[in-house]
Amino acid sequence: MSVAERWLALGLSLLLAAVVLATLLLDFNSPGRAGQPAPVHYTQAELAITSLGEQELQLGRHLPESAILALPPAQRQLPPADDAAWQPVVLPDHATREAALQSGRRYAMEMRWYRVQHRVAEREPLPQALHIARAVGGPVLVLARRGDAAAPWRLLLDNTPDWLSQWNQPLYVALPPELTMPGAVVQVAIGLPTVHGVQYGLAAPVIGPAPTVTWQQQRRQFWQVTAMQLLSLSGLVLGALALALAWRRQQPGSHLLFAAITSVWAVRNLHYFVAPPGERLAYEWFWWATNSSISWLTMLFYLFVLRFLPRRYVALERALLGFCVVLSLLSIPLWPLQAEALVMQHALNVAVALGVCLFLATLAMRGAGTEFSLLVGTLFVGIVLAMHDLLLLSGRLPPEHLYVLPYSCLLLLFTFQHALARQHAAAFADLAQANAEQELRLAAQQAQLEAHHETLVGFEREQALLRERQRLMRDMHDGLGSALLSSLALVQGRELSQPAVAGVLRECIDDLRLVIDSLEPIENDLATLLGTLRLRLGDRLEAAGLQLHWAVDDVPPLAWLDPPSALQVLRLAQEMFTNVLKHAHARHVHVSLRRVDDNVQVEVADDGVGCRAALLEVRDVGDRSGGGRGLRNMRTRAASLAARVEFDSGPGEGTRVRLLLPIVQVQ
Amino acid sequence: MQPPRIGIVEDNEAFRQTLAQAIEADPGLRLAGSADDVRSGMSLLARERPDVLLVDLGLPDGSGLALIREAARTLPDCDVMVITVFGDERHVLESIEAGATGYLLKTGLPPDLSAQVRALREGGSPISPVIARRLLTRLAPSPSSAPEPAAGDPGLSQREIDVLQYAAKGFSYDEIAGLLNLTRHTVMTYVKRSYRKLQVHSRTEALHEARLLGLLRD
Repeated sequence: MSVAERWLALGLSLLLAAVVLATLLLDFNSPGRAGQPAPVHYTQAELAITSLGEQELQLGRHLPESAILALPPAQRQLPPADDAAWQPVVLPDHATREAALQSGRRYAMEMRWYRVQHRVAEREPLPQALHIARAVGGPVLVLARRGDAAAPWRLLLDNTPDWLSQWNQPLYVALPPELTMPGAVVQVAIGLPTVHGVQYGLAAPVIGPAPTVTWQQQRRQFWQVTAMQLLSLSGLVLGALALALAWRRQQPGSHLLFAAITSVWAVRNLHYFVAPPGERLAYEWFWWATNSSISWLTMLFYLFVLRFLPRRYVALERALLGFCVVLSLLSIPLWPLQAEALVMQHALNVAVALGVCLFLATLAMRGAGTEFSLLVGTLFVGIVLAMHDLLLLSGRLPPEHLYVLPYSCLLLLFTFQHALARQHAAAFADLAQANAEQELRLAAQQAQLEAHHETLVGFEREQALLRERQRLMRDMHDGLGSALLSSLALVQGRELSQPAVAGVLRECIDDLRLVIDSLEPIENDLATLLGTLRLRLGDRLEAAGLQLHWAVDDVPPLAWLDPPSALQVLRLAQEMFTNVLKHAHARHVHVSLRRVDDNVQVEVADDGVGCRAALLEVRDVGDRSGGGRGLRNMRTRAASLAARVEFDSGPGEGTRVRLLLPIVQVQ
Repeated sequence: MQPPRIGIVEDNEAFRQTLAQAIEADPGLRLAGSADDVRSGMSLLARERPDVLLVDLGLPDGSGLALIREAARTLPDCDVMVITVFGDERHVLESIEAGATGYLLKTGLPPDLSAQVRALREGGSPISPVIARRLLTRLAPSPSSAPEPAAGDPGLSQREIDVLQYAAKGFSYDEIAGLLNLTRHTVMTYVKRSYRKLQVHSRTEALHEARLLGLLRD
């Protein structure tokens, strides 16, 4: 449920509550109560019963009090004139049914006459009126006459046309003004034709000034009829809302049920504010729908409530469904069933309801959640109210009572709505929690990954350190170490001359410098690396009388030029210079650095003696002084950098040595 | 012009004496005094106020950097040359940041000591390709990655950048002079100036960082 939908639902609920509240306020602040003279509530009256003979009854299978579809006409009588026939009676007067009725049989009919004397107050120039909250048993007759015994009765109301809806319609009769002059006494007789032994009921009549009586009538009308209409309508709106939500939910069960409940409820309540159709078959079907709907309604209630349990009670759900189907089919007005069937139907409903509710109550007691307990509690309230209505229906309660089950539906709807919202909120909370857990898991995984990464980085760092150490060891061993050892040998062999030792030591230092220079931050710039070498060798070249020509272009940085590679390059370049110094007998040496295709080319060219044979091959044969090994070393070193060395020389043409280093090292 | 008075702080006695002898033998130089650790070096600075300080970094009681800073603070006219075995970037650059404007390779001694001191006195500094490259990185970063220089932080002039770029590629001072149509001496003064700028730069950097850390107020 989105926020907007939740607010809409809340708004509707509030609207409903506001309507009820406003009515209640009206009830207590009405002008009818404030200034007007109060009407008289007749709880004492006189009763006379006259026989109407035996009649054959046309019965429907409906509410007991409306079982009598219509009384035969020409039953018109006047209240008995003989005062001896009248006895005092307390109103409301009601009795429950004693015997079952059967359609087509003849029954003793009787007319119950209720008589009151109403004295119109002096200085009360208002028209007078009569209000009866409820009259059941038969279509009501209302007659009136002046207070003296000789005056003729005047028929004020014959409710036969509205008989079918009389069971829930308050009655209102305006008394003729000529009978109700201020100070006058008027006699009012209310005739209730009933079948002997069948329930009847008459609420205590109210007679008084028309405005106040009208108001009482309207108030009663509201609570009996209009409120039901409003509730049905609001329920339908809520149901539509739930349907809209069900449309968008992945598990629409509860919402669909809620929508179904409101619809069935509207059908169920239809008879409170819609007069049943007069045509017999339509009438039968109308009541069938109304009476069956109560089973369906309770069944849907239970299904809804069961949704709030962690497990499903499929068998129970199916049993309830089957019960409703069977009951509805049995009560279809196509086969002859007597009015008892209706009582049976209601009794079954109540029995099943009690059984299910007890079952649900035990579940609630075992702790099935707040929402569930609340719903079950509401169901029990509903059962109590339903029993009240049954008692009223069967004439065991005074007819002043209202039918209250529809009001319990209001409570149910509120509870359901609340439960749905809570369920939704819980789902949201679950979702949020799931998200949070997911995030935690992700964070943990991330941390794990980072730890792995750290380990890897640490491992790589260690590997790099190890490689570096190995390299340094190798360098020390091959370069500095062997040079120092050979100088030691020189010294021990006493072949040493001071210059020889100095030369060996200088070689040692040179090599150490190379190693140190290779570690300098040259930022992948080969030019800087060569410049460093130049700085080291410059003095020596100068001392040898060589003139150095430096031609260094801008070249792309070499990404692979790390310290180990830099050392290889330095050694290669040093070898190139050393060759010039030792063998070339040159005067000029040109050093250039430039890009050639995908390579960076270092060229050292001298103008010395040249000669491939002399310079290269002889040295290849393995001159221990370093030439041949130097050349082999150069090739090996170049190969390790994916580079190559080119020689170009001829006798008297000088020598060109080119080192071609790839800009991108493809391993 | 008076020959420059030179102070030596060097803990290797043999080397110190070689230096001293070289200076005394050179008519163009005078020995102001020599010391073998930071403490005596400090008093040498205060007592003799030498024109040139030759200082080793690794001294028994501390780093020669302290002496370089002290000299830069108290003797603005004193040229400091750091004595280094290999002229490696870390030592030299640290010294320049502390206020040195020259360096002396231990292996390069002593034949051209006189020439180097003289060049330094005349406003020129030696440089290596690696130092030149580092100076460019520090003082003239590429425009895209460079933060705005802090106020009072001098950037390099175009000429200085040109000189350093050639130096970084291994060109000699003479070659750079030829390429840029300058005298060798001018090229060297550009280098010395950029050393000074690095010194100022590292100081502003330190201030800037201190401010960022809340150690100092504006």
